[in-house]
Amino acid sequence: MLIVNIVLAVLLSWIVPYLVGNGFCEVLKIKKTVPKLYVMGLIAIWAFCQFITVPLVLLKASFLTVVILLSAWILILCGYGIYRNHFPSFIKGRGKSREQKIVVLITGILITFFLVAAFFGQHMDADDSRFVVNAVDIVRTNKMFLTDPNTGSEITTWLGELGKDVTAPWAVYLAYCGKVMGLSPAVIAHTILPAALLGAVLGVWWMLSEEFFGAELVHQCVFVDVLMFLYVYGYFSLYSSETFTMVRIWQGKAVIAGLGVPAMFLICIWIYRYGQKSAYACMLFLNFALCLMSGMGVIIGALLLGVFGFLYGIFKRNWRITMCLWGMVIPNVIYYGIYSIIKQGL
Amino acid sequence: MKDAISQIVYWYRLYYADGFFLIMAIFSYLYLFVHEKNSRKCFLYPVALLAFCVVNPALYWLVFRQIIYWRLFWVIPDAIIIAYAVTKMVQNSQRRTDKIIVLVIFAVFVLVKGTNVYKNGGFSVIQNLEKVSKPVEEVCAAMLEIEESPRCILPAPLLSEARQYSGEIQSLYGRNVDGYIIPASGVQMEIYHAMERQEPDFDFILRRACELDYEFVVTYERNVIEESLLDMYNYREAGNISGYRIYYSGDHSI
Repeated sequence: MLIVNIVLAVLLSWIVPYLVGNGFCEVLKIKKTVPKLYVMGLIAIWAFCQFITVPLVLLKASFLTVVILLSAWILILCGYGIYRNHFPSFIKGRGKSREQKIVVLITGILITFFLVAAFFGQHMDADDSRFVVNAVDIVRTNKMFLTDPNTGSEITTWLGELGKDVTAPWAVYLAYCGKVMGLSPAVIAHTILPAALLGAVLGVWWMLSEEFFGAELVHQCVFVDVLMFLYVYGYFSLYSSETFTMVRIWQGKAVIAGLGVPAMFLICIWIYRYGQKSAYACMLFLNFALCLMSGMGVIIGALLLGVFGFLYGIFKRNWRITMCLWGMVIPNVIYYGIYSIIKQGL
Repeated sequence: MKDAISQIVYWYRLYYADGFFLIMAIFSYLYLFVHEKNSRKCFLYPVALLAFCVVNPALYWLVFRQIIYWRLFWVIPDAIIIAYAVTKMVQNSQRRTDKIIVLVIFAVFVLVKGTNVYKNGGFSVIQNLEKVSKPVEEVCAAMLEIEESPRCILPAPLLSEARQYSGEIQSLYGRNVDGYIIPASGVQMEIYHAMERQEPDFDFILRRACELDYEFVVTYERNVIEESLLDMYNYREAGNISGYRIYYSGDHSI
């Protein structure tokens, strides 16, 4: 039965975000590609999770409420996308020439190795004694951040570093995945999610390659291959984004480093080059998703939006863009304010 | 301001270590700036302004010193810049031989100067689905076989992972004894220090365990509790697993 659960979890961790992304892109009328659906699906799930979870944590509501609301959001988007029945092709127009086929094959092998290593490799990190244990306790007690992760005993308010988790409840997302997949959040975090999240990182890299190199398949593959190579050989310090992405991708802050920041750059390129309203919507959702991942996401999201907004106002001579991007920082300010109040109160 | 600059330099050195990655990123950036005018406004200028903000002493003093500063270096996409430049060099090379030479030079440089994360990043092959260490898995599983929600006092190496393995495990303390998460109480610190001494005071430990109703005490294998103490406090050895001894005082048979 456990093997069945594992296989199901692996499938769900890839298929559900893809279907959610399909519905999300359908609503926003975004041109679809396979990596875009997957990445946007995850962002849509995370953004909604952040949006509903912070108030529910503050109200000390039950975790089941989050499960119901988030599941409803996922089912609605999946259902809408399936109803519209407009999926992008996986293989159309790919690998026509011999050179393209060879490069695509090499890239496929490297990606397979990259993802399989994430599944079969084990790396222990002491920070999981808070992040993963929080998720384990959320599933066990049906309460969010009202258990001391050190001891397992109940607490009545958010003590110490748990205050950070109130406004950046990534552990709730891990707990949600554990609850619906029927597996311990530790298994979800360490075994199921790393490959799925690295897959999303690869998806962002691929979408960046489309912006940098157009539809030149060979150069897109070279770009992604070079990045994989840099990340595998980028263990030059314990602090770098490459290190965090490779050794602890299941932690929210690592998702910021590996996926969130590159995705921010990607959507800013979309805003600058195409200026479509859907790009602004994607940016807003991504910003919420960054806030879910970690307290640093609140800061980093605000910093990136501040810089992009300033520059694009200058380059486009359109300060409405600036105001729009800076306006997206309002949730960051609110979350930071809530965190400050909790910190003062403890 | 001097303090701010010295802090920025300190964290820069810790973040970039020997600096080879940063040097590659700088050369790549300059190459792209010259050859990729299309990406200047939407990518290169934002990167430059972000880098300026991150290493700005005034901003550090006003804002960044109150957060975990070194994580701000994540906003500078070094690897993406390098990959972009290398691929652009490949694209701009006319002959196939030149393209291959570019890639080979890049690969050799990274192989020589880089560090492989799989070999040096503390990776091992998966030992269990929770990906906790084998001793943690075995000790916790042994306790869970006896009690549904074991209350236990654990040695330091097991603290970070025991409750990841199972939330049913209730430990007297965890990583808070190292100053993380939630401050540890005086009682927790007292018993923790007693446990980690070279010669633990088991009379004190078992007495406190009884008073606080912790039915499991897990010690290092080298630390054998005397029978007289075990009898006095009604503990018995429940297992010797993976370098640890499990002592139990509950009602269930072992």
